[in-house]
Amino acid sequence: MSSDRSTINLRQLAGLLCCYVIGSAIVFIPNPLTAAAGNDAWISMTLAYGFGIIMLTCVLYLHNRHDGASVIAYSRKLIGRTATYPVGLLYILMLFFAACAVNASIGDFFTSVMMKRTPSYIFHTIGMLLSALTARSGIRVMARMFFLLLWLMLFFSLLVMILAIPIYQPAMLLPLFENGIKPMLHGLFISAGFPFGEIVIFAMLLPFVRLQAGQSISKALYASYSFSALMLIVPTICTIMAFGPAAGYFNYSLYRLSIEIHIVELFQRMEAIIGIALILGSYMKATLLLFIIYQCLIQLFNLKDDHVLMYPLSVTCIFLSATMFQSPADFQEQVYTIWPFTVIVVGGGLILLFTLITWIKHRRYLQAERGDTS
Amino acid sequence: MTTDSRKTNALHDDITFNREKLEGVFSRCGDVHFQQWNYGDGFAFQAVSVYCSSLADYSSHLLQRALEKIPGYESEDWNSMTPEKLRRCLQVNNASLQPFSLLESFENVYESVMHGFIVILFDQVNQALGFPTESAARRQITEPVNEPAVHGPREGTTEDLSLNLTLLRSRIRNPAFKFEFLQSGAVTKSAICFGYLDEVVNPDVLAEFRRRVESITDYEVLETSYIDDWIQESTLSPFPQVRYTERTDTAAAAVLDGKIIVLVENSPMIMICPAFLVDFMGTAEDYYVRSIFSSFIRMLRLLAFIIALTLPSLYIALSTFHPELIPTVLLLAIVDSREGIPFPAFFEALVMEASFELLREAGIRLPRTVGSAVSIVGALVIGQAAIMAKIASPIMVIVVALTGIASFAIPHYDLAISLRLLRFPYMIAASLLGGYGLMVVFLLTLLHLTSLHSLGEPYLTSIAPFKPRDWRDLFVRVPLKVFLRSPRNRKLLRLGGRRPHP
Repeated sequence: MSSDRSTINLRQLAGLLCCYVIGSAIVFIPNPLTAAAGNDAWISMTLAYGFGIIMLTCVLYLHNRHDGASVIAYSRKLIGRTATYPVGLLYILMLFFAACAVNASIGDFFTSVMMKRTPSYIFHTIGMLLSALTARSGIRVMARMFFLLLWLMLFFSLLVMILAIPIYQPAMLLPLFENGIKPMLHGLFISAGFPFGEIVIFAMLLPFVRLQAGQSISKALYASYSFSALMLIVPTICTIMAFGPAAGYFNYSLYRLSIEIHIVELFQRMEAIIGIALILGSYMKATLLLFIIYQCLIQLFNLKDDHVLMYPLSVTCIFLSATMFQSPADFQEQVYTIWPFTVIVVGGGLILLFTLITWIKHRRYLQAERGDTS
Repeated sequence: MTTDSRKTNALHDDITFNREKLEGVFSRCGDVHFQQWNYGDGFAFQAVSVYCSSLADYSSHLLQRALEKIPGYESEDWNSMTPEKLRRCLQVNNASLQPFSLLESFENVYESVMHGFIVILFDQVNQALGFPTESAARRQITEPVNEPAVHGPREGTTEDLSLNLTLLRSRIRNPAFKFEFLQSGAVTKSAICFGYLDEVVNPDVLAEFRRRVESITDYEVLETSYIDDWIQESTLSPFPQVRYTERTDTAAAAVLDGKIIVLVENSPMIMICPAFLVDFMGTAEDYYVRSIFSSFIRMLRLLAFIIALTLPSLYIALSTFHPELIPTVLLLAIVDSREGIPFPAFFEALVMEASFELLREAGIRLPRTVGSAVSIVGALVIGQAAIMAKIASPIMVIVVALTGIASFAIPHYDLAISLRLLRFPYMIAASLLGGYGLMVVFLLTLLHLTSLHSLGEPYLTSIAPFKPRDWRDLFVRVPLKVFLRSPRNRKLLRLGGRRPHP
């Protein structure tokens, strides 16, 4: 029993990273990706994973170099107090968008597929309140709970992918690069933003980890990040194998996949399972994002950590998720065109900038030290 | 207490004064008797014995035999005894006067009488003799009614604290097994005893327990559950945060596991804390039957847990919101059976569940002889007649019955109660938002369970925080050959002074 309830262990952090990356993406990402890149979707995804690994390396480098300080803390050290405010605000705005997009997506899913007559604000409100309650319980409760839910979500998703084996046609994976390399690059752009590039936001959670002797934070995070990437590439391949060129037209690909399952009389109507996986994924991701917004806010403005802000934040998110997207098409454009750009340029750019400054400072420090000793 | 007040409280030399004061305190206590007798040369000196006839066994000849011993030390007999000699006897033989105890103050006398002692006061002696003869009638050791087992020991605890401790101590004969006593209440002064295995119990948990339990000693504790209510973290949680048992083997196993057990005088319930959710899934018998069978039973209980919590709500959600998820043939059967029923599924379920709860409560409170009438009426009313009258569909009756059976299959009554309570919010959520509502309530329940603590330990220990090592004794029970070699038992081996085999 530890008296400090605001820390988590390395395994829990790795679990949170999985929840964060897989989250809602496991259901959402195959569709826009195959729409953009066709059969090359999984290649763009693998390359995007490479981009994510670079980002993760930067994040881990910064974490280690600054002795586990948070992004806001080392930003103050690197670019000064005043410059940190706009940077932090930019971060928070990005986070607001991400949290609301995740929250809105679940409402869209339900109103378009399962419960067509229920207004979407009901799903937005309930989902966000649930996230607020969870985020308020602190990171340790979140880590414990999500570890459990992650397995549940993966189990359900894998179950559907395994039961769908009879409808797979591996020949559908070919031809590759049918329309040249451009569609593949478009896919790379989308998936490098959502979900792989979002690792730059997850960096805010690294300071909560308490390492035991002999543990390596890099190893665990690389492993869990790679595992998450695998869990996203596999469903993409599955949908391509199942639907071929049509994969890009079916929204919520895994959901469509589950509808197709019909093995004897026993395994049919598996849609509900994907519904559960989707709720779990979105809920976990929205909660993590809300928690990160909250952390950014209190660190940026040096506020007291008493969870009072959590409810105003969540109410803001509810209103934003209800008003931000005019239509599903609008959602598609914002999430799969504007958001990846923001993540890659703003988020990735900032992290790269910080890494560069830290690296240069560190080199100078080393040179100075060498100068002293010689 | 000042010295003065202690002086006035001390026994006096004058036996008439002492007797009058005692008679004043014990006035209108019809079961307290005073008996006067004389001793010494020509019966010149007085003595008075006081006892409570409902607690003390006055017919015993032990008293007489023991009294003979007192003058025996000085080779005197009662005929030649004087108060002077008696006083010297008592002073010299103070230590060897067992089982007598020497009482010096009125307080001691009241307490001794109320604990079934026979107290003897002598003329011109400012001390009294207390002789323990407690013989209150007690229930015999029987098989625990609420936790029967096919295999394994059959003895259950009784209301007698010392007997319970005997049963426990005879299971763990090790000095590391500690019993600590507390006295609670100003009037009842009932004893609270908590036991634990030193070095195995988590010291933080023990310290936390001590801190919490010590604050109850000012109040009257009549039953073990008072302590439960006092020390628990979340009073409004539907989930039980301590476990109860009447089986000494369960209690002993819990002690070996590093738990704290609490017993209270006049209550047969042994409280085990801290308790985690997974603890409520097991029984003592799981370890006495073959591991494959007990694993099967554990799985069955998990299924019972899920059914008892969600089946009615799942039915509501599927039949009102997601009929497309039900296989067509089954859906037709359901639609067919619901034809002509005026209520929505939620209302139907609510009526049936409520009448089931009523029946259950009535069955518990009624005298046994009338009890069977309730089940007949219940079977007819909520079974046959409700279907005939088109108030409920047969499928609904099956759902409710299955839920009831599932909640009976959960080995711990406390957990079954919490599921009974939670079923209603689940049903409401399912009727409002279908599967999504169900999911939301499930997540809320999980959130509550994850934030809940029992004596500072997470309530979902071994599930969240996830401890793969504990899973060998969670939903399956691995063979004892593997289980007993676990790290926990290595710790016990070290405690017993033996080196664990590799």
